[in-house]
Amino acid sequence: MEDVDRAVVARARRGDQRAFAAVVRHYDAGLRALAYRLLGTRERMDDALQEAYVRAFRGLPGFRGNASLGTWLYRIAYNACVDELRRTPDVVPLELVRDRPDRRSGPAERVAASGDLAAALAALAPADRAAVLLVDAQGFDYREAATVLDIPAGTVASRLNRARAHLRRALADDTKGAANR
Amino acid sequence: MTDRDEALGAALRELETPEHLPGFETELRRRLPGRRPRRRIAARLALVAAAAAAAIAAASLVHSGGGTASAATVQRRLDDALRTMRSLSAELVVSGPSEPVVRRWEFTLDAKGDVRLAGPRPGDVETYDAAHAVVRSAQHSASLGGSTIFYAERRGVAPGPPDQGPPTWILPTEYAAYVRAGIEAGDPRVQDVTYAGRPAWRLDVPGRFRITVDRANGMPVRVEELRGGRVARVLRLEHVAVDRRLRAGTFRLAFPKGAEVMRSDDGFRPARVSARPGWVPDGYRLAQSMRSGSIVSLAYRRGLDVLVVTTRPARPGDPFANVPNKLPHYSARRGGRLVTVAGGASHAELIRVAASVPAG
Repeated sequence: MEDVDRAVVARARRGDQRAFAAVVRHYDAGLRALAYRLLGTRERMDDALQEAYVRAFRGLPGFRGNASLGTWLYRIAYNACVDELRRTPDVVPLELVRDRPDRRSGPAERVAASGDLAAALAALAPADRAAVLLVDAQGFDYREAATVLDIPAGTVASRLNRARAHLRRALADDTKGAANR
Repeated sequence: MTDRDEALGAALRELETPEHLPGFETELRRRLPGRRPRRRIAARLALVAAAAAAAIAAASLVHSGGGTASAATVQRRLDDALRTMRSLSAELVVSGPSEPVVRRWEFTLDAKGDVRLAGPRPGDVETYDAAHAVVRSAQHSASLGGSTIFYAERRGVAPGPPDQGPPTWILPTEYAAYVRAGIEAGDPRVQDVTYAGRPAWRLDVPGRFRITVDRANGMPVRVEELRGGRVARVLRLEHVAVDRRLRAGTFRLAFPKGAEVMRSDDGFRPARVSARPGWVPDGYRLAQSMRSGSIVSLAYRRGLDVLVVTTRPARPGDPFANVPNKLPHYSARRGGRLVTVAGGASHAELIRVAASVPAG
C-alpha cells in the first residue's frame, strides 16, 4: 500500500483541510470497500467513515509514524465500523436482502440461496471478514493487518484460514446446489 | 512474510463498492475544524515525483555494454540452472518506491520443495517441510511490538496455487517462472552487463521488467518491476549459494519447549490419484500427490522448478480458477472439473499439460 507524500501529511497534521482531503481521497476507495463489506449498507458505511475521518483529522497531530499512515487510517476506520456494528448489529447486508428468497431464513440458508461470493463473505464473522478483505483483497501483509485489527499476526493467519475455508465451502456448496437444480 | 490468496483477492475486489451518498463531503467539511491551505499541493507533488524518478535512475547498479546473447539463450540458461540445482540459499532484498522500507529475507530451497525463510525481522522464521506438508512459523507480533514471538503450525498444506500453498510467493522458483513468462511474452532486448562485479545479462521487457541474470549461476539476481514507465519495486538476490551442504533440521522449525503453538489444518492429505496428466514437460517427476475432499493437487518437480496441477469441481466464475499473476498458469474445464496448471513451463506447455488431464 503506497503512502501519501510526507509534505501533504505534514500539512494535514497542521490542520490543512485541503491536504487532509487529499489524504482521504488516496485511501477512500479501499476504506469504502472495507466499511461496506463490514456494515452492509451505504448509510452505515458513510456514518462509520464520517466518524473515522473526523477522528483521523483530530488525531493526525499525534500520529507518530510507528505504522504507515494507511495502516493507521485503516485502524481508525475499522474501529469506527466495529463501533457501528455494536450500535446496530442486526442490519442485513444489501446483497442478502436483494438475493434471499425468504427473509426469515438464517445466514446459512441465505448463503446457499444467493450463492455468491458477497453473500458468503457477509456470512463470516466481521473479524474474519476484515482479515480476508485486508490481506487478500487489499494487499496488506500480516503485520499491517494485525496492526489494523489490533491482534497478533498469528491470529490474522488463523482468521484468514477460517475465512478462506468458509468461502471455499460456501462456493463448493453452491456448485453442488447448481448441479442439483 | 505473507501468504496471500491472490485469486480470492481478485474476486473480492470485483465486488461492487458504492460511492458515498450525496452530501458526504459537505458534511465532512462541516465537521472538520481547520484552515485554508497556503500553497498548491499539486505543484509540490509533481516536483517530488520528478525528484524520485531521477533518484531511481541515478541509483541503478547496472552498467550496460554491447548486446550479444539472445533472449532464448538467457531463457535456456535459466531453465538449466533451475533444472540442475539441488539447493539454493541467498538473501532476498525488496525495495523501491512502492515499498515503505527495505526488507530482507534469508532463504533456502531444495529440490524436494522444502523452504526456509528467515526475516524480515530478526527471529522471524518460516519453514515448509514438503514431505509432511507442514508449514511452521515463529513471528513477532506487529500490534504488540516488543520481543514476543508467536508460534504457528499449518498441516495439510497444498503444494501450491491456486490453493494456499507454502510460503514461496517471493522466491526465485516462482520468480524465475514469472521471468520466463516475461521473456516469452515480451521479446526483450538483451545486453551484456556487469552486475556487482560479475558478468550478467540484462533483459528489458518494455513497460514490465528489467531483469538482470547472473551468467555464472543463471539466477535472476535483480528484477525491477515497472509501473507507468517507472520502477515500482526492486527485488535482488545477494550472497547466492548453490548446492551448499544443508544442516539437518533446516526445513523443520523446532518450537521452544512449552511454547504455545497455534495449530491449523488446510485439509490436504497424501493420496493415490489415477487421473494424472498424460504429459508433462521433459524432466518433471511427480513429487507430491494430495487430495482435500474433491480437490486434487499434484506437484511435479524438476530441480528447483515446480509445476502444480490442480483439479476441482468446475463452477462458473470460480475465484479459485485463477492463480496469482506472478506465476504463469493456465486453467481449463475438462468435463465437470476445472484444471489449473501453474509453474515453470511455457504457455504452450501449460496448455498441453492441462489438455492431457483425463476429463472427469
